[in-house]
Amino acid sequence: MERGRSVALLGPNGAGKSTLLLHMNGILRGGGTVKILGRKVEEDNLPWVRSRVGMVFQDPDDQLFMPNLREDVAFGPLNLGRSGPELERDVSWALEAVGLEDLEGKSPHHLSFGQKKRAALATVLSMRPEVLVMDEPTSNLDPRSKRAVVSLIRGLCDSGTTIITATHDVNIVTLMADEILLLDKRVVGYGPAREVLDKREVLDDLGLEVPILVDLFHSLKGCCGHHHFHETPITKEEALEGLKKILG
Amino acid sequence: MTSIDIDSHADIDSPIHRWDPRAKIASILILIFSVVMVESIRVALLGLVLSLAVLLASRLPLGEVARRVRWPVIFLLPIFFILPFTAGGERTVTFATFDLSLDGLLLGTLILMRGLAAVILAYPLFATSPFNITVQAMRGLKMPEVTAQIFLFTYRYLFLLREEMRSIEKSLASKSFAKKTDLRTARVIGTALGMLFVRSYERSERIYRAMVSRGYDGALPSTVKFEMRRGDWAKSFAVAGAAVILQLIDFAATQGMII
Repeated sequence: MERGRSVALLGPNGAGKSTLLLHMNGILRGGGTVKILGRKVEEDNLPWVRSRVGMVFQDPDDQLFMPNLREDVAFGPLNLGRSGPELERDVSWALEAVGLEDLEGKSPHHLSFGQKKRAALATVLSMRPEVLVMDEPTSNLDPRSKRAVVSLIRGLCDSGTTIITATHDVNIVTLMADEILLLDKRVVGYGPAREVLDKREVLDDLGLEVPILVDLFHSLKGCCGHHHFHETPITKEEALEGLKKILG
Repeated sequence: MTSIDIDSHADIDSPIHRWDPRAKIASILILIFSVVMVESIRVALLGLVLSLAVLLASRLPLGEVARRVRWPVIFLLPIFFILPFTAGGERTVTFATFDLSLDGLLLGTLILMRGLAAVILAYPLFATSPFNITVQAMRGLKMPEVTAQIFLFTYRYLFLLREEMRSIEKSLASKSFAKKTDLRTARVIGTALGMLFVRSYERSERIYRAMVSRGYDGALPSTVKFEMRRGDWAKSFAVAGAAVILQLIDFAATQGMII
């Protein structure tokens, strides 16, 4: 995949999404090869790979192991040898980015689930990774936290970070990903989000949800013909345009 | 405050809280060793008074400390009650049909007082700094890295284990499981505990992966820095000095030099 793009991994439970993600920074290694920023992931360059690829795990309790939030956010940068004002800057920036700067002295068991989830993201952001790999960053979040995470992802992507996200949330995929990789133990499909989400049969076969807008416009196509629009709308704005056309 | 939240009063302002944690740990440990080694019952009483003084200086809420001290004391009490019956010796009092040994009674009191003093001292020792600072201080006192990390992670994940155990209990309760004293209860609880172990094991693997992902190579980085000031030295000399004096008085008392 290209640098600076945001790719979503979609697939049913057990499709191998998390397993694939764990290959991205050499935690798991199989028979094939993984290349990060043009370099093959090998035993010798694991520290290099891990300083470039930030990995956010699904369960924040796995990710937050230090006694308080600030120390946890500082853990990665310290391992990368950062110290002094540079360290302070990265840690404060990461905490602000997820909106937890007021809770930096708290221990993880005093945070709510949503806060833990965002905290887990901050512990990786502070390393300022070029590639950000996330396993279901929005799962079990309330709508507001979900929106905050999505706009954070979008912002990071716009500033040049390459993003890979495993998710089940098809309705927000279009907000955060440019491309989608469909996975079911092997690659089932890969392409621009719009094209992949339009392939209803493939999504159905995998037992995945069809985004609500795509579903709606597929039904509309069935009853009003498809001469009003040649592309299925995947965002609210496109859907509005489409509906205006249909209503004349 | 829950029973495993040992550092919830770490933000109180007191001479013990302000003390350099390394000096605090070393000095109070010396005092604990000194108190548990005294042989004379009067000196043990003095030790108990000393430990209460340290506790008072720490301004920890006394009611709460008393509630917590209760449990170790419950373990000490049987010794106190059994020794008068079993110790024998020459000095005895006849009580109803029993011969109670006075030596046993004294020995029991001595053990109880030493134990109580040590347990009381554990609170100014551990409850006056955030737990991670305590562990960092122990590292500063040359505790091995692996042991320090085991302490830190145990403390962090104890809370999670408790939550997981509670959620297993809730799930059992919502399936109408009631604890009884029968084999089935034992079997169910056994399975639940086994489940907890497996979950913890799997979690530890995931945590390790998360750590390695962020560049962990065996050493936990720390930003905590300690500095000994004049006041720290003074407090350390006072407490460690008290420990030494306690031993000297005890030596004199057991040698019959003083009453």
